[in-house]
Amino acid sequence: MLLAGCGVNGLGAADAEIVPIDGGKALTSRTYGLHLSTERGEAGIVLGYSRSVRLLPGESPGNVPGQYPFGVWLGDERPVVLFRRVVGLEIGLNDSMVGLSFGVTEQMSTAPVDANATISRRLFFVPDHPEQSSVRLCEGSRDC
Amino acid sequence: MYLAYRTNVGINASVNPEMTEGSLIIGYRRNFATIVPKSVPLATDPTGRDAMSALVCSDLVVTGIFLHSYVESLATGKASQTFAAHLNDALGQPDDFFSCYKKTAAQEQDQTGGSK
Repeated sequence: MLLAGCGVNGLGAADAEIVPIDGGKALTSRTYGLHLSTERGEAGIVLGYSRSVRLLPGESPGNVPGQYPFGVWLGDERPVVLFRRVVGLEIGLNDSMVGLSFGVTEQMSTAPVDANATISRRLFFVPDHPEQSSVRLCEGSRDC
Repeated sequence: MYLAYRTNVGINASVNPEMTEGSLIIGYRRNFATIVPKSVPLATDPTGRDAMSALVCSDLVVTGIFLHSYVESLATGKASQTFAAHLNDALGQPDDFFSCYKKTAAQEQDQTGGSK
């Protein structure tokens, strides 16, 4: 598995897929071998296999639906849902975990909501079939 | 406020920086938690605190050790107050946005049976 390759922030020994969903897009990224992440929510090192799914609300012109054989850059995304499944060794250095794990780890988190924010949000998330997911999000307007 | 879900199968040794706690897990563990702030400072009164408003329904389905699906309906601030005030429409039915407040067929049957 170490020979599979290495990558950084979703690029390298990786592949990705972006599919349109109701209310946004779903970005699925898979990495193989040694992978370094510097994202706030998942900063760390993975040695093994990882699969992550991000639900991105609304229209984001930078993410064109399709297949990406060498992955996509994940550093700038602000998903409403971040799901990760890691098989292998992971050293986490992020705001939710500092430590290491070996085996199978699965985690999901939703985007934090500011304590004084006015929002309404409805999520339907299916990690193994992200194309079935949907996002409805309304922030800070009178319609919320 | 945010929700977090985590499942470990294997070995996990970690420290949670936000909760200032450490753990060592050998085997299997699943956590599902919502982190909710208790209050925030008032903008109009530096000594006051606001308990805030939130209306949330969440439904997490797990198959075996893996997450199958997650459904969330959330409203905060004025949006939550608006939703709470109009939770039932003119026919007394909850809004589709917060469909978790809809009674199941079994609950409706119980209610009907109880009134007879």
